[in-house]
Amino acid sequence: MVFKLCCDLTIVTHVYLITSMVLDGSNHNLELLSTQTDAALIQACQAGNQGAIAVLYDRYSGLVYRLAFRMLGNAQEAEDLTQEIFVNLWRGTTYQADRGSLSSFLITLTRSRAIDRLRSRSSNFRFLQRWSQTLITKPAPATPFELASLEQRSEHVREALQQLPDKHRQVLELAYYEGLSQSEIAAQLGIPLGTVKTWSRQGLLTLKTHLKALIE
Amino acid sequence: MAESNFPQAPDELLAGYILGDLSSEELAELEALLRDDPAMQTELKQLQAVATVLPYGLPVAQPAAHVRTQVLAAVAAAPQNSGGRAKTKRRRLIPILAGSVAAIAAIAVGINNWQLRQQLGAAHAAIAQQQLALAQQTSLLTNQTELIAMLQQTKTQIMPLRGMAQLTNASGAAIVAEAQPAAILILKNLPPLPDGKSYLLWEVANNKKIACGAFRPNPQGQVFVKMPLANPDLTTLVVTVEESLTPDKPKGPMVMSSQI
Repeated sequence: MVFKLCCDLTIVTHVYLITSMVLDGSNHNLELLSTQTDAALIQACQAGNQGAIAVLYDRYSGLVYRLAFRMLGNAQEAEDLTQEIFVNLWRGTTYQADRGSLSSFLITLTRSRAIDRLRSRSSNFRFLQRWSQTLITKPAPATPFELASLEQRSEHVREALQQLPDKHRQVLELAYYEGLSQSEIAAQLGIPLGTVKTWSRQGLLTLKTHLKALIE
Repeated sequence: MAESNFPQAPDELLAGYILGDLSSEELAELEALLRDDPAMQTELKQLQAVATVLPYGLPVAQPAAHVRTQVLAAVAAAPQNSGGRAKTKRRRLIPILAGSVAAIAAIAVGINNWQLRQQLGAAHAAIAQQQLALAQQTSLLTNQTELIAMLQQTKTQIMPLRGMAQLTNASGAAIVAEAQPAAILILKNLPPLPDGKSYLLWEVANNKKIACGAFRPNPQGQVFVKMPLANPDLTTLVVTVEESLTPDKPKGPMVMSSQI
């Protein structure tokens, strides 16, 4: 019996990945993987290890989701975006460890994609594209902040935010989470543009002072 | 604006840059300051870092459990570098992220590192593609070698599989060697399945159905894959369409069988 064997090459790899996930003791693997660094897990993803993306999801989905939920304002869209971010992380592999931490990358990407979605809701919506769409560009060892657990990080940032005067925090949040330009913020709050600039800059610098020990 | 008529503290300029509110004069002033001052470059990076940690301050929330299931199903259905889709995503992402990197680099050192990074990124991508192609060739060769070895054995069974119900065009066979608990599955005319669904191979032994594993056909509807078997004394092989990759028993429709 002769069979035609000229299958697409990729199918072989696909099927092996699926079957290996189904058949190997994946719980055991997840346990081992959960002790790995982000960089090692990204490498494992690039090598096709599906357990690695599961561990990264468990590590960062809460962070991605809370940002998506704050920006998009509903659970359905936030879940949709969370799914998109992690499936893209698996497929796209645009993250490069030498450009900064994975958590910073995920936050930047989530915010950027959320702004895309907000923009698609209304063509009149204007956005502040430059605001924080930046990555740390230099290879750097993990900072104390990155080594801290998610809960500890949240605690530090909340404490730092509480140090800000309400008005400074408000303009920062409008720019960051609503994607509003400074002139839109000025119009919305009924204050001069120069005041918005001063408050947001001072807010950011105060935050840096309080978080400095953790991020440098 | 009044405030830009006065010299500003370097810190104010940096914060203004991060917030995107600098005038072109302020931007030029900042550029000049950054060029000669490593301490200011460090400051800039710290402010960027602050901007990326803000969401930690948000109330803790978790996505519903089904999101995790959907992510893992999508990952299983779209293994690494599976073709054009992944490439399209990559192209779309690079300008968003690297574009801002370029702006920083141009200001800080006056050299457009971004182009170099892009070239390096493209070279890395090309190497990754080559490695993937090599891995795929190796996998195919391994499968073919194993198939030949199985066919050379005396106790090798060829179990024809035929399509049922809506898949009457599907056909092929499983090659089962007594010496090893595995089957090589060679099928054609299997239609693609929607996301979240997979073909599953089951072995029937002692009236029990045991899942061997999931597989997906290539774009031409062909399958060539080695599947492990739990029991070499199986009597029948069947293929079903399932939503779960690890069901205890078949729940979806049976689409192929070796006993027709």
